[in-house]
Amino acid sequence: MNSEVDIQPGAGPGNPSQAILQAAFPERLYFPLHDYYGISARPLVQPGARIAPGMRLAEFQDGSVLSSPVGGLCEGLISGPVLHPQLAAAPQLVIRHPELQEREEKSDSELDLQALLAEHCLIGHGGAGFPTRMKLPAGFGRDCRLLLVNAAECDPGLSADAALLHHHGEAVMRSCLALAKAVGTRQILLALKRSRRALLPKVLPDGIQLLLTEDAYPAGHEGQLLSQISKILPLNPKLPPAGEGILSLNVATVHALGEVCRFRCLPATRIVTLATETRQINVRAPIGMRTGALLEAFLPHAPKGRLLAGGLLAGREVSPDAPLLWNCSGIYAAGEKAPEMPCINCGFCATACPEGLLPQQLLLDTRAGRETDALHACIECGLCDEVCPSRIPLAADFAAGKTRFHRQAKKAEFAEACQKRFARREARAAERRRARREKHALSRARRGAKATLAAILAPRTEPE
Amino acid sequence: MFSVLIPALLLLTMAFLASLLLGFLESRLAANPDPLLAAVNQVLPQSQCGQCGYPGCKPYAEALLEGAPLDLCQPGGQSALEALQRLLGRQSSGSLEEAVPSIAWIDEALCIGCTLCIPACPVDAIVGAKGWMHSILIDNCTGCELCIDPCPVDCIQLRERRDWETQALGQGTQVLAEAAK
Repeated sequence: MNSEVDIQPGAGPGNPSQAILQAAFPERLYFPLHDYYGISARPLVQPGARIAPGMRLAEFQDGSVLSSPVGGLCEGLISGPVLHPQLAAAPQLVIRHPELQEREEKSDSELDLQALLAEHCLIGHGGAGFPTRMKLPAGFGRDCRLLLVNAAECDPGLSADAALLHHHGEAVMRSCLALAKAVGTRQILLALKRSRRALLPKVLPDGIQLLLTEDAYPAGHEGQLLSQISKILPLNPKLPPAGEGILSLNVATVHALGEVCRFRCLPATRIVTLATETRQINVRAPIGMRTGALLEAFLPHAPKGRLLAGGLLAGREVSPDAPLLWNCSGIYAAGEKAPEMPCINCGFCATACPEGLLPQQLLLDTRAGRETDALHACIECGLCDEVCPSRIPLAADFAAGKTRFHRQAKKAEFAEACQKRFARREARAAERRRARREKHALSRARRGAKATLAAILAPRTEPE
Repeated sequence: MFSVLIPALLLLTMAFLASLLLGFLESRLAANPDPLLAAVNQVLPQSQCGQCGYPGCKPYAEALLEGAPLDLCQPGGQSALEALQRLLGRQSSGSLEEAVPSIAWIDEALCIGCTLCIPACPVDAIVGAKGWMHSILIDNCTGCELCIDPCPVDCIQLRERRDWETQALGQGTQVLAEAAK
């Protein structure tokens, strides 16, 4: 962590102890039918159908199911913009007159988390939206060392997790303990920003330990937390946490998981931070509501122009028509974008980079199509964007570059495999041709020999 | 006299030995016949589909070095075209669209098991036997369309490739692979 840089970006002061505002359900909700990889799900309901909470809406490629968090009337499918970083548009299921029906709490002593999450495909609430089911492989009950609950939300444009902890702290703790029990670990680490320690009671429930982080962005990034943990536990912070026996989840995901277990239904709302340069409020907003409409309802005087989903620094630009999903923790109204200017090699980005990379060099390499190790070390935190006087979208470029190089590598690998198969096929065909030629030559030789023999023998056998 | 002759002879002997060594090494460690040809061939998708009008990817690569048009490879699309322009140092007049990755799909209700499509596949991605329904190995199919023409009952279609491997975002695959261990 490079602690010399102290970024004070322009997000208004977030006060997590302020009351969470309630957003009313809009006339229509939109549920995007794409998964983490951007592949569309197969819809399972017909237009005109009545939807009940918990009903199966669509089936993903891997067989898991998107279930409806609300009741209402299915109006049909439309195609529209979504939050996914690679998709311009995706099919969305429209539900009219959504209503949140009274849910009854179900309690089973035996609960199969895997099966439950396959039926109600919960996604991570931290930002990337990775399916939670994938993080809980079937064998996790035996070799989970540690449950890492990430509440160290460090983006200056977000305070949703802090608000969750302040208002629903006890429920969150209960969910953490229950989840730890389910995956078979007794170690729970709750990562929290130092300045937000006061949000939690002095004495924590037995089994939950705190991992206090710096306040500076991006101290709450999973990789940063892991390298902090690696000082206590032997582990390689460069590997994905699952490989090291660590189940790492965002705090809101853990809370939502608790809700899924209790009600057998996906949560219909989540806490979202709506922010501008001067204000920051937390709203409990319905999933599937359009982000632009949500912002308009609570911050009507927010600057028009770009919307960033997921925070001020880590956020990605989205269309106001993109519906809110579980992974969207905040919406930041960023206003109009200043035009991009050429790089002047000021070096500010190199000072700001928490991973010690040289973003200006990385930009040159990536744009020229050279894949470097440094590119894969980039955590896309966006600090370089923030300090760049030329307003170059560095982090977005790096993210796009990673995807591009990955696809190129996959393509090249496939081409090589194809060439090998083709070469083997050619060799086989050549072998067959050679065998046939030899056989012909042999039979010709045999025929010739027979004819000669016949010619020699013929006069003798001829009767005189 | 000797002070000139001995060094001169020594140098001549050394030069002779070095030339022998170099000649031996050249015959043993022959360089790649044409590195440019290999590089151009590597850019092409190796589906051997023949849509360019040449009998395969390597023949097209050879023709490219002789000056064939750059924009004939449909499956390679714009990205391959740009790579070719960079490699060969000449511009193409035409442009290409990025190809959608696709695979062949056999309608099992229609397939009569005639085996005509099997020899047509350049990468051995069709399995089947006479009188039995044939099937595509989707991991190996390149979507080259060469199996479509020979089919007498038109039971083969091209479909968009939808396995997540080809579309996955880099990080996700890694996490999955790690989690699967």
